[in-house]
Amino acid sequence: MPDLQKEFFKDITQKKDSKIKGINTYRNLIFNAKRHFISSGFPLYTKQTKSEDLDFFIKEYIANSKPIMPLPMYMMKDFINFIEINKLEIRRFALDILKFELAQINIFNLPNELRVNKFSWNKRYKLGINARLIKSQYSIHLDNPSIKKQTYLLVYKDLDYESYFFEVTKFLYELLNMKNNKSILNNLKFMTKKHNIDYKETKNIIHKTLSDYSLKGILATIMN
Amino acid sequence: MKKFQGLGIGLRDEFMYDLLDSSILQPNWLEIIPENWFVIPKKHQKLFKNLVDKYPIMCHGVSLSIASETSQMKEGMSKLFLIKMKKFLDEWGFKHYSEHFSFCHFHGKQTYELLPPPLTNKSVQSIVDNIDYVQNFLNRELILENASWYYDIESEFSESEFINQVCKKSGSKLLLDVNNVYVNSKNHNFSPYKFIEEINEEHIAYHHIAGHLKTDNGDLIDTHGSKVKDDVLELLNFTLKRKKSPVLLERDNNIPPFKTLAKEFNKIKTICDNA
Repeated sequence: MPDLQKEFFKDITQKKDSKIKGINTYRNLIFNAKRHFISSGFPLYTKQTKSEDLDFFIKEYIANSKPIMPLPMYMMKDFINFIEINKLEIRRFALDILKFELAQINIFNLPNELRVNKFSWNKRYKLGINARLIKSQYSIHLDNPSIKKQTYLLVYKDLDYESYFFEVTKFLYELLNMKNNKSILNNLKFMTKKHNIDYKETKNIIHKTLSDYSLKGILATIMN
Repeated sequence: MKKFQGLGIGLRDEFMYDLLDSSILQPNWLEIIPENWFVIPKKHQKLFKNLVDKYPIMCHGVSLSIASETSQMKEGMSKLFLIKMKKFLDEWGFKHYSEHFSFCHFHGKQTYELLPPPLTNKSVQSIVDNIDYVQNFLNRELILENASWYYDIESEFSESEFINQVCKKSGSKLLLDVNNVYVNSKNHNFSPYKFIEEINEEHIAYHHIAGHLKTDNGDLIDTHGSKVKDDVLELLNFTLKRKKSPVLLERDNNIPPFKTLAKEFNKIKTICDNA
């Protein structure tokens, strides 16, 4: 049994067409299902990618990937890993778009409750579980993402449990990305010094933004 | 299967919010794809809980790969999958789990497609061993569906004989997909009525009904993407007259407006009620 099953499996996952109708039916079913899954999960990427390039990646993926779990929900991440590990020729901005869209999917799928809190400069914060920071050399969220422009995005899940994103400044990106045990006030002092900007003025400007992030669960308090 | 009577519908994101308080489409029970709910987004948790409280739930998976080699079932991703499945079924208290006479992965490579097993004595024994392993692991009886197939890897006997043998030797029940019988009969030139008659009705737990697509070259593909064809409804009627069992309408792709779906559902319900 295994030999014939193995041969069949090899035939339906190979990149070339077969002369046998039934084999091609399975090849098409597998390809179309994966293409539908990828294009509906990654609509921005699909829009920015030539159809033949996408088809090539999917055929490579079908022929050579070995996922760790047999579940479609893991396929998105697995597809991106496959492209990176196998060093398939993909434009940098396209790979960034894939990661940006995966972040939105992952955040939407999170099962956990949003934890909101009142902002205080004396508290220590980290990025909430419902938020992700994305850095790209390209404006991956705009209509023409292939143009180079350093971009910082914050993807988060709102109180209605939908995922959203917006652009943030480099300063805010670095502040939110700081991973230490210091209060956010201390981190702000460090950042204003690093960027040589006025500490008090920055604190006043940024206060409303950080308060808003706390109330949206983008900032999570570090408890211990 | 006591609570599973009449006509149910496969739960899909596209209409699950419509379903909860619907007066125009009232299923007797629901079928879910369990692996799609292993992690439930916060947005859908309340609705899912409400639906579980309201309806009997049949878990109908697509990733088990029962026709993989027995050694593959006990290791790697299959083992991980079973651990996750058991956790999900136990946590929600779901007692019923159905799957397919098929395999979808082979030595670590995954197709996410339901592939036909060889119809051989060796394959029967391998599937029976796998069923035994899975049933013991999950502590639940397994119900298996006849899948549509488009290529014959190897056959020592007919599909109906194969199904009867596996059910008899393993004790597992059959989910008889009437549309798949119809699709296979047209693609491989046999009588769907004869096939139904050949199936030992004692094995049947419940039925599936769905739409299919006719390709340009005349082949039929089981798509679950269109309304159920009249020929398939006739076959369902014939099947139910042999053994009245619960029926489930599957609509996975190209899902129509809820009112249209309700109209089709109620048409099938009349057939089920009158059979």
